[in-house]
Amino acid sequence: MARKANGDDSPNERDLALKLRQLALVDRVLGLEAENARLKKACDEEERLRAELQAVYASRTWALGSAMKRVVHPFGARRAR
Amino acid sequence: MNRSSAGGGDGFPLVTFVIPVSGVQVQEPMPILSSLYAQDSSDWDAVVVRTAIPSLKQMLGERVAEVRVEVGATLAKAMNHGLEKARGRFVAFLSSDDRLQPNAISVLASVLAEDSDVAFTDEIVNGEVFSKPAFSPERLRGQFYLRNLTVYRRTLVGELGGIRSGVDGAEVYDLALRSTRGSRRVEHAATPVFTGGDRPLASLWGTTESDALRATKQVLDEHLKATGGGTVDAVSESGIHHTRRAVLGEPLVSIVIPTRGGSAVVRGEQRNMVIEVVRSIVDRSTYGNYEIVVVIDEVAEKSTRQELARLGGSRLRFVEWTRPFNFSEKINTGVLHARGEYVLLLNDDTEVITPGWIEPMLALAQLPRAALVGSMLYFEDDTIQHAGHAYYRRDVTHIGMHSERGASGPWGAFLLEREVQGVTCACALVRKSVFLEAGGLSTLLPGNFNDVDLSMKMASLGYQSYWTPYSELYHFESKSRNPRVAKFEIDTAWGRWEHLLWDSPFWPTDPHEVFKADQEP
Repeated sequence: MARKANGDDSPNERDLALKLRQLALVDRVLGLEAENARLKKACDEEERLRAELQAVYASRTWALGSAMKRVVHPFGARRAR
Repeated sequence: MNRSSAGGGDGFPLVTFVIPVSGVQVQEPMPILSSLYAQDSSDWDAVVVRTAIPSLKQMLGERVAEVRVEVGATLAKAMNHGLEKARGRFVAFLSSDDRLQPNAISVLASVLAEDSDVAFTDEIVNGEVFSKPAFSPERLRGQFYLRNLTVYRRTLVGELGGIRSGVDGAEVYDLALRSTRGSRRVEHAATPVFTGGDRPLASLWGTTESDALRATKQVLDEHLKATGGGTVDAVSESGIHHTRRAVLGEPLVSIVIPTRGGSAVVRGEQRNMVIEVVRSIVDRSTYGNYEIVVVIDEVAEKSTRQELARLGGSRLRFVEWTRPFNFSEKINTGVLHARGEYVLLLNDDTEVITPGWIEPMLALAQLPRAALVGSMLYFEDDTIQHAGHAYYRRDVTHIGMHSERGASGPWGAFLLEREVQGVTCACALVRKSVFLEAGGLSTLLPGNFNDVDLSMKMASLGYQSYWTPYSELYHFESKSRNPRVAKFEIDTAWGRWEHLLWDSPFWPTDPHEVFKADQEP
């Protein structure tokens, strides 16, 4: 892959391959940790929105509105919970 | 975060405003008092320090106490007198001309936690909103950007011995520098709730501009000495001060340049890119202890290698590259061959401008917990290509792109060494051990966003990136490679960091804004 052109104390071919693999492994771990944090944040947001929606469904305003809809449109109120 | 909206505790207010007024300046009503009494929070009180002999009591109202100092007393003495009378958990020092928005105290209360030491807000300056970066200690040594509506924990100010005398005109800057050096937390309320008066506190107290500049130099000198060293080259009435960190020792810096050895047209002439960048390094660098590691493709011509060897001499080493293009892997390979304690990643489509280009980057890279340090890069047409990265509203971009060379940028930001979220790896200096700890450049990102990713990886490990305007290069961007972005690169980079690419704490305004050279800071 890469070899030195002039003689020096650079890593040999085998050491280099090992170190490159180690770097790649560290990179994958940090990347997975970041991806996990991103998904957790998205998940938390989804849970927050779900709770907010449940609160709306459980509210008196929603119940009253749904009841009114059933009265005004008795055959078209299927969306109400 | 444990936010405090319960005030100072024990019946004491959250903030005491100390307002020194000299005898000649009193106007009724004082703008600062009018705006304090208009606050939507009652979590404050104030102390007016006067030199005038007649009491001002009837114009102060019930929340404002007064103390007197003798005519001719220094501003520091007046501020300390006020401090003795202060009861708030935090104190701020304002002029009688200053004005607060009605929600100023509430906004401050919303960011102050139990263990906060200092907090500052955005403000309105000459009718324009100054959206400030998050606390940036390196920027602070070049610009007192916290400015006057900054509250300090009163006990901390006491521990520091109060306001220093002998630094006339720089008392508050000095307090900001000293109080933030060891602070547990410095908070930023990103809401413009303050408008400074036409005349700053020190000038109302009669301090001359030249005395204030002399004092500013003194406090910056002392600050640099207390925080790792550095020099103050110049202080300016503009508020942009030229200070530099010191390079500690003379560590070996390995300049790693990946190249195919190709040519491109620059300024109307065909040039071999890697030869010219190496020539500029050798001709212009003033830093003595560096080596050049050229990671070179096997397709490169023999004559290119010969010329590089001639130019670089014993400083230059080749690492042969025989695999398909992967910028990240090439850089990682070069770094693994580097002998230096520090590595400077450099594209072959660059050219050094500033002779002392390595030193300012190295000095910042030597700071504790420093990540990547970037430099000022210009396109061929002398417009700015890079003044740091900003990750803003899920976009990643170069700050200042296409602004004219010589532009000072918003509030002087192009002239100041400062904290950034990240920098381009077209030119970036970093301690080699930090590069390795972060796993180097991700080989999953062979061509694009590997620098964004590296900056974010280092940030996730607790390291801070910096940018300096004192190191200037040309970057003839993508003259030597295909600039196309692949979808998988976007998926990979955003898959990792999208949730953190929104706020841009160190560049809170639109980073795409373009500035002209004649714009004043």
